[in-house]
Amino acid sequence: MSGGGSIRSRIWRCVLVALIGYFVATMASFYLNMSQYDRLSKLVQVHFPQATLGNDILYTFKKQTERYEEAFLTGESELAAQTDGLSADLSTMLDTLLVAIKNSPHPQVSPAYVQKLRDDYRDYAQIASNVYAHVSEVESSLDLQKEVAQLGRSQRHLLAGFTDLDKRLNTFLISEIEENKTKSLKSTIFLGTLFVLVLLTVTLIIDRVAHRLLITPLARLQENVHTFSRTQDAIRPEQAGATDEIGRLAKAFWEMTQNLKITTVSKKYVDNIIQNMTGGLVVVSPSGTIQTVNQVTLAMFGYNEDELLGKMAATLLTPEDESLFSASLINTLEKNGPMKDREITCLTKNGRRFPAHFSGSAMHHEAGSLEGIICVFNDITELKKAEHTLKKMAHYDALTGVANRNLFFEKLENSIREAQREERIFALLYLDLDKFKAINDSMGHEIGDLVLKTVASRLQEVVRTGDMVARMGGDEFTIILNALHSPADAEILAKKITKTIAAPVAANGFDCTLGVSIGISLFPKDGSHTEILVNKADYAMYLAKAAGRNTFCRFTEEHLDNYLANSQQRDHEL
Amino acid sequence: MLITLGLLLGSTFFAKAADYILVVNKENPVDRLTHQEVKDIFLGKKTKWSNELPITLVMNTNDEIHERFTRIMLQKSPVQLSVYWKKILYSGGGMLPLAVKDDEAAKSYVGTHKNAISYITEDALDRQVKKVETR
Repeated sequence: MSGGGSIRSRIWRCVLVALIGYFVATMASFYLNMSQYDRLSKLVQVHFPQATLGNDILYTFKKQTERYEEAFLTGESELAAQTDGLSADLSTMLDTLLVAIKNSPHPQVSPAYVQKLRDDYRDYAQIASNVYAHVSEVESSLDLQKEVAQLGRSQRHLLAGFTDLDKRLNTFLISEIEENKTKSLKSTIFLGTLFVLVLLTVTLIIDRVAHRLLITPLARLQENVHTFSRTQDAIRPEQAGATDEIGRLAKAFWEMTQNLKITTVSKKYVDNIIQNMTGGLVVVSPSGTIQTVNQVTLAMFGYNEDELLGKMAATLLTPEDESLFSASLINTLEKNGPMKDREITCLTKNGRRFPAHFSGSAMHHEAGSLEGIICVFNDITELKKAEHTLKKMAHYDALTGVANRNLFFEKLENSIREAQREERIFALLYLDLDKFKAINDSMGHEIGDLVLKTVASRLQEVVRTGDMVARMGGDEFTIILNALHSPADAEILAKKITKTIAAPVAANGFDCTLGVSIGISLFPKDGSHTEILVNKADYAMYLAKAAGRNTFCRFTEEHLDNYLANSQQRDHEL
Repeated sequence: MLITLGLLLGSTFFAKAADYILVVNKENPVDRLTHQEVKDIFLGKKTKWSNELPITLVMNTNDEIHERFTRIMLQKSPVQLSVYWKKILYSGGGMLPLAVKDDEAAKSYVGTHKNAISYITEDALDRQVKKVETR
């Protein structure tokens, strides 16, 4: 079915068909014109001269008989003699005609007929020449009269013969002309019909050929393209010849579709990915409106798709973070590349806040212009919880739940900065339980731990909000007392603490009684560095312990010299 | 009768100046001929009697009678008649009529030839021939 060959050869085939048709029509026209030319030539060269000759013969004979008659009537023997001269001419004409008729392939008059006429005429001429020369005695000579009458009869016979000959030749000429006319008309009609038929046939053939060779393969290719655009699948074309451009095009298209299948991801595939990804995907236009959202986003924020499309992306954020989707975001993304895991707080439809990681990157058209921002939101509520736990583990004492050393130093730094800024004082209390080691050793770690927990919770109860209890390790605790009105307030609290701790602790059926020694340092009087404040409080605590336990001691000027000596010794020992 | 005689006399009187009459052989049944019949016979247009026998023309070349006859009967001059007959002869249509030199020769020929017809001076009529009336 699929005729091979290049488009050029296909077109040439069409042209060839047209040329053959044209050739046939031209040959027919040529043939008919040539045969007409032949007929007309014959008419001019054969029939026309013959007809003219026949006419001349008749005319000459009539002239001769008229002259003889005149000579006969007038007795002019001289005129008769002159008239004899025409006989030779006429005889020659008859000879010429006879030869012409003998030579013509289809003589219209039989040569025998002409020959007889010629011979009759010669006899007549012979006798006429003799008779008309002696006409003066005609009245008296019956023989002469008989001869004249005889001549008259043969003359009539000859006249009839020549008239008939002339008529036949002329009739033939006229019939030939008529026939030519008819044939010309017929060939004109025939040629006209032939040309129309050839034209129709050629048109039809070219149409069929073009349809078969060009249009059908192209239509099939087009159909294949349509199929591909609908179903992403193309029909493998038939094997094409090396010179078949359309076949090669179809093959190339098929190969392209196969390559596309391998190398490109369908929209469906991408949609699938987008819908099934764990993060919330939002595509934001350069003007800040939401263009695309996935299912996760809708579930995360509690919206329907219709409620979000076209809205400002800032809707999804808390007022604190709304500025994220400002014009500067685009600039930032363009300049610094994609933004990764920026922590933000999101706002759901019903007003719930949740922490999220925001990632954004600019999306460009192939031409380079900005198409939008691809945003991914990841709910990090769980992550935050875990982080919080970790943070707690790092900053709080696992046993007692109060702050550990690290957090203590951090908070102490904060307190120093705040107090400096607000120009106020605060106190640092350093606590060490009395006789705890004995309890721990005699009653076991479990009781020891219980005692520590109880102490910690009692301390928490005593301090005000904004103050902080921390466990420094072992049986040592610290308390930061912020917002003191006066140094005396610290001492009041320290006294309260000693009383609280002195209350017995019920442990395993026993009541354990223990005490606490407290050292106090004050900011800014005793220093403005954590270490100094801690050391000074610690030193004061030792002084309290030395003073007889379960009491407190505030670091004062009088302790300074011993404290310095003590700390120098300690540095030296270190 | 008288009137007829009178007319005859009259006509005889007028024919006195050498008038002609048509004559045929006595055995010829024809008694009278019309003017037109006479004309046709002498111009060669009627060549047979009613009994299918050929007519033999005899021209009486007696000058006076001949001229009268040709001029009155045939409306031609003797020369014209001569040319007329020559033309017929020339075209092979017939022979020249027989010519005799006077009434006697004409009577003699008609009296001896059954199919002959001629014209003679009225006075010359005798038993040899039969007169034919013309109208």
